Amino acid sequence: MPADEPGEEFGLAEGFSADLDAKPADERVYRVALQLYEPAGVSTIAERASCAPDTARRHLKRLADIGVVERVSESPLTFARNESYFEWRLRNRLEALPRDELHERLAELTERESAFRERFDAESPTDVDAFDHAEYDDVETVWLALSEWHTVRERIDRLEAVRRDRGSDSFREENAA
Amino acid sequence: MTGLDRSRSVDEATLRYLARAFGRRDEVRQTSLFPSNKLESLVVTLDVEYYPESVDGVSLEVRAYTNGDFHVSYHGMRAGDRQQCRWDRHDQPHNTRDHFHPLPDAETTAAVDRGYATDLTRVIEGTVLPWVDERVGELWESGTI
Repeated sequence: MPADEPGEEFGLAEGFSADLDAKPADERVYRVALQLYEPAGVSTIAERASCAPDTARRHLKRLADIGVVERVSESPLTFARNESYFEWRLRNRLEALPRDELHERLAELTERESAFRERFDAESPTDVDAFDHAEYDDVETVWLALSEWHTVRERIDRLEAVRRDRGSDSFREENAA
Repeated sequence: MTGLDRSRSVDEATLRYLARAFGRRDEVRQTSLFPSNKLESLVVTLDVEYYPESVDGVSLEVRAYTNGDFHVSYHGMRAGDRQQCRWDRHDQPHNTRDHFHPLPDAETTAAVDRGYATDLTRVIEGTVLPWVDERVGELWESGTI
């Protein structure tokens, strides 16, 4: 409940932490699996997920079967996040969108991309030297903007790929008919 | 670290996970993933009912990437005065990979070296949110943002 006095009831850290801890072991292992940017062994993963190594191993095997993680080495057994699975999921999500929505998103992103081109007077984020656009004090702000530009380009590429696939699908359907 | 030479792309899966976790809290008024002016961010708007009346808005912005980089920033606005700070993990020439840009404006030159937990979810749980909680107390006690 909102407070009228010094925020005693505000306990975001505690509530957030209790929520994470209250999750069942399979979800805790999944949470760590999402963040396995570097390969890690079963006992390390178990520690990060606050569960027993055997429990972690069992869930990791299941996640590896689905494709969420990949085995990086067998001895010692290590796992890492499987990026191609997550890329596949992102494309799946886009494939489910109606054609109009796909076009709308593409148009919006293309507009963002030209705004970045104009702002930095360059064709691509890799062509930009952040120090040309910032005092040292806020050079990171420029890096973050360039990172966003890079992301816009990635999203455009992904949308284009989905649109191309869809196009060839309908072409095949027509031929089959 | 061996590393898999991962490139820096937005880690949507982790941000979606975090959005759900934040969404369950009473102190959070709204979560917004990739709003049109913040293309890479999960924006978490806190409920200002918990803050002194002079506080107009408090939000957190979380960015996560597939190479392990992250940026978590705190934005506070009080009587039209904006303040921000940021917890970062990324390679750059000025500090260690883990570092913190303090209030009032998260300047690059003011950054200090830090060492955070491996998982971003733990960094938020153990570093960012305790700081946010403490800030609420400070705001009630003092006239500063």
